[in-house]
Amino acid sequence: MSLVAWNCRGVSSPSTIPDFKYLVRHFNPDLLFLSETLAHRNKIEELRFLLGYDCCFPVDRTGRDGGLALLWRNSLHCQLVDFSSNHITVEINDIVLGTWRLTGYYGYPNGGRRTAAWNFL
Amino acid sequence: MAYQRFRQTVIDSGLSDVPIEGYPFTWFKSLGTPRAVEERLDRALANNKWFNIFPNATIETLAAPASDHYPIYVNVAPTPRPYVSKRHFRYENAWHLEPGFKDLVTNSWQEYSSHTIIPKLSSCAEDMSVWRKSHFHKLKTDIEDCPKQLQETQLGSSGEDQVRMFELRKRMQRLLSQDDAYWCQRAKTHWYKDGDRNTKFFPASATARKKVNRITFLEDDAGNKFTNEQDMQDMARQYFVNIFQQQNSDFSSVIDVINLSVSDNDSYMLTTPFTKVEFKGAIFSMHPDKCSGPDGYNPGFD
Repeated sequence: MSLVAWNCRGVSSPSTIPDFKYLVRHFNPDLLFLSETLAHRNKIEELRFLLGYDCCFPVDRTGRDGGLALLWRNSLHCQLVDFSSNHITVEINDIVLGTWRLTGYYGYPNGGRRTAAWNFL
Repeated sequence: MAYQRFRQTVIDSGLSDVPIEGYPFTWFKSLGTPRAVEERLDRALANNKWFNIFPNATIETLAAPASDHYPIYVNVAPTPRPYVSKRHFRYENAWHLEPGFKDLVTNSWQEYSSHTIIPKLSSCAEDMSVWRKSHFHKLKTDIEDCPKQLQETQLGSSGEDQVRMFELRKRMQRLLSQDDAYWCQRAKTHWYKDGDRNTKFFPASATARKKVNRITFLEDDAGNKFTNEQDMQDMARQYFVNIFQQQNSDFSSVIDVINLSVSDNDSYMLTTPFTKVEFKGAIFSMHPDKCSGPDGYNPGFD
C-alpha cells in the first residue's frame, strides 16, 4: 500500500493534470491527499474519474483559497471520520494489519492565521 | 514561535516523522537566485502504534513541476530496489571494422601517453564507451535500413546515384562483417577459423551458451534452493568467504612426507624472469574471441 500527499496549487490548471497522470501511472498510490486544490467538489469528481479512483472526499475551497481532497481505492476500506477546512480524517481497515487512522492536515494558507492552526491541532 | 508550538503539539500527541529517503526538501522558492530557499514543509507524521504496523515505511519526494511543493510519497512496505550492476566496459571485436575507430584509439593512446599502462587502458576504455554510444549502437537497424537505401538508389541512374550505390554496397559489406564479428565473439566456437559469413549457427551457439551460463538458482550445503537475486548474491559471497578464510590447521606433517621432485635445473628455469619473446608468444597465441579480463579488454584488442 502506498499514498501520496501533494500541495498541488490548483487542481484543474493545465499543468497539474499531466503531473497527476504521471504520478498515478508511475507510483500507483492507493490513496491521494491533495491540499490547495482551489476547487469545488465537481472538479474533484472529474479528477477522480480521470485518474480512475473509486472514491473521493472533497472539501470545498473557502473563497479563493484552500480546498482539500482525498481520493482512494476501494481496496483500502476507508471510512470517513471527521473533516474541516483544514483536515480530513479517515479510518483504514486492513484485514491483515488492523485498523489505523489517517489524517490529511493542511494549515491556513495565510500567515496571520497560523496560530489558529496550531491551536486547532 | 509558531513552529515551537507545532513541535509541542507533535510531541504531546506522540507523533514522529516517517523517515525520508532521497531529496529532503519539499518546497522551494526563488531557486537559481541568491535568495533561494528550500524547506521541508510537508511531512508525514505517525505514532508508535502505526510504526508497529508498518515498520519499514518511508517517504520520498517526487517530481511534479506544476507546483512549488513536491508531492510526498508514503510507501508503507517498500520493496528493496533490485541491484542493477553498472554496465561494464567490454571490448567488441566488431569495432575495429568501423572506419575511424583506429584513429580514435591512436589519438587517445597518445593523449594519455604519460600514464602507466593500467590507467592508460582505463582512460582509453572510457573514450571507447563514449564513442560506442554515438557511433556503434544500432547495428541491427543499420543492417535493415541499408538494403532499402540500396534498392532506392538502384532505381536512379544518374552519376551521383552510381557513386552513392557504390558507397552503400561497401557499407553493407562492412555492416555484415561487423555483425559476423559480433556473433562470432559471443558464440565462442574457437575451433572455427575465418570462414564464411554469419549464419544461423553463431546466434544459435551464442544463445545456447547464454542459457548454460545463466544461474537460475543456487543450492546451499543444507540443500535449500535460492532463486532470489539478493539471496544468491549473499550466498555466493558467503561461499567464497568460507573458502578463503584462514583455517587453523597444521600442514607441516603433510608437507614433510612429500619428496622434492623439482631439480635445481628446473627450479632455475622457473625462477628466471619472463622474457619479452615468451610474453609475446603467450599473448599472441590467445584466441581473439576469448573472454575479456577485469579491465574489459579481450585478446582481440590490438
